[in-house]
Amino acid sequence: MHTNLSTDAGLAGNRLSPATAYRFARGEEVTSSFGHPARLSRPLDWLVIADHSDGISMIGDMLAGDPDVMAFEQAAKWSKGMTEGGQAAIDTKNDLVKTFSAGKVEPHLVAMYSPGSRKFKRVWEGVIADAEDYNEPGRFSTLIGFEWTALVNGNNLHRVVIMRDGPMRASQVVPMTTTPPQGSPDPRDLWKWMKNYEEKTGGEILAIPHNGNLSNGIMFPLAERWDGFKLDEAYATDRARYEPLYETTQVKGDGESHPYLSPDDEFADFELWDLGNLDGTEVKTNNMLAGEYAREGLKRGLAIEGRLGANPYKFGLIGSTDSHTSLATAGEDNFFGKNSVDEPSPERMSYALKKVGGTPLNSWQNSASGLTAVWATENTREAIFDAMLRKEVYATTGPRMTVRLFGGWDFEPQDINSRLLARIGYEKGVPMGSDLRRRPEGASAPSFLVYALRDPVGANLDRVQIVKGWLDKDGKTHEKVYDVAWSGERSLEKDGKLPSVGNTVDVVNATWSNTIGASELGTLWTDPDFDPAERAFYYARVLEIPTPRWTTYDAHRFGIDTPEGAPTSLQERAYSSPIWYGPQS
Amino acid sequence: MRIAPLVIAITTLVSMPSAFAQEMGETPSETMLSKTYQNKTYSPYALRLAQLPPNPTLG
Repeated sequence: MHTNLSTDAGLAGNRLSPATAYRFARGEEVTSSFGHPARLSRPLDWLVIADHSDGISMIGDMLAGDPDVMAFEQAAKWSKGMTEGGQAAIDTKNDLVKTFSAGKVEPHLVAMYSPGSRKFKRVWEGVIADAEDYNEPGRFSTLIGFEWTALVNGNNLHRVVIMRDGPMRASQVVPMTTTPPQGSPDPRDLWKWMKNYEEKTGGEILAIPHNGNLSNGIMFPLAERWDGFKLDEAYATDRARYEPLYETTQVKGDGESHPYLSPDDEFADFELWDLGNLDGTEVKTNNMLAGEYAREGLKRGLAIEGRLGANPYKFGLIGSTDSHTSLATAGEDNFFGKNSVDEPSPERMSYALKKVGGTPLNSWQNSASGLTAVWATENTREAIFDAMLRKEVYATTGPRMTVRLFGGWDFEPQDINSRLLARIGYEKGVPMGSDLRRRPEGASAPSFLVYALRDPVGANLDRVQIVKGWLDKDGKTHEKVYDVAWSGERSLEKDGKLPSVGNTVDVVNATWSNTIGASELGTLWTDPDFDPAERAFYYARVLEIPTPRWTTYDAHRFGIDTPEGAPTSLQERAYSSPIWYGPQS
Repeated sequence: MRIAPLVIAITTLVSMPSAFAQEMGETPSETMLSKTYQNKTYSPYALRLAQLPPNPTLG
């Protein structure tokens, strides 16, 4: 979640502070940057504000006419343009972005908003103070964090950095940035900074990469990075340690799977952003996709572990909004857009965000997604962070379904009928995010206890799937999606596919009915293709029945047509973190 | 939501073998859990049972 402290958010009209973002997330009504009353129908339990560390608060200071900043000719010019509004503000935004991208911002101005300056430290102390003000253990937790926004030739390597700790430790450092000489765009330097934080403060910290789909193949390297660095054991162990999670779904597209990589998966084509890299300067080609999507990353991890003895991509799956509006909205029917200029209006879904190789990336492609669910022991910073570290988390694309996944060797068919499913799951097996326990003598295959309950005020469930990836003896990776539980009287067809659940969406009125689907689904599933010699992972994907997309709600509200090409409905989903098997397990 | 796990925690602590209970208050390490599991007297995830959350926490 970004607030007006982020340069790009401020440029796009966000005038809402971190305090407003917290108030909104915990359920209060606020007024949006463009004057709409905004409120969540159901509050969130916790929030991470992760503003871009590079240039943090610079735009706000320019707008406020901060004398330190106005002393710079560039800043004074931009401040004047932004304050004038209208075309002058648009021209200013374009000029500012162009100047930043070209690295032509006055070096002393950059230094003022970089580690080492008093202003940078003061801003960070404000970030911490706001988090502290709104942290109410047991009711609403605020985790202190920032975004380390590395971009390599326009290719996205962003990481959200989150601390377990409060002000005593967080204030002993300032965020790392990506602009040399104070910062670095190399993730290995970020991990060094994180290690230093832990050693210096005794605290704990993690980083979550996101938008591999805009990295043009460099998010999950298989053997060599973009700069020629060859992956080694240290890279694998450091990445696994500091990056236990991957943000799989958010406003800039879903990154679980891609039809090119998973041609047999009819649900892989979901809310994709696959035209190019983040800034649209390079068109994407198919050979880049394997280095971008979560499922393929998990598979590459198995292959690297087979080669180096350590798995750099042993990550759990989460979702976030990445909204730049200070408004954490992930629901299709209450979507406030990525940027403040995308707040609800008849125009917001009918323009091109940018062109990539001549192809427009349209504003209707913004995705109203997602949320992170953590199986935390209590609603506190520490418990939420600990659940993230052990990867006992799952992603949703917005709805609040409940998902459980346990893997083990001793489950019995009646276990799924227990009302104490988690108790049995922990007793006999391991939860999502774990390694399977050692295979007992004579055990033929692992079983998975998987259970999903629909969002109480949301849509019924279509099906539950188990996604398996594995590494064969020749070092090749494979994947298979199994339908394991589904609603209605459907049967698997000859090709192994389950017929569609149907679609009740009333496009004109932007509504649907729960006359199809099931309110809960669960099963005990045993891997029919298990080979004890092969490394593997298993995660659950839970699909809702089709519901209206945010563009359909907008069309209904504003009495306009949905944009050409935009789906009128979608099947929201949840992704559990995987459970891994290794021959040594 | 906050009370339920605490009640379970107390119940579990009382019913747990004393050697295991001594470890309470410490973060369970995988080593300890594996060691505990080997004798199969009680669950390796007894500590986790003490922490059963009723619902996911959303953010």
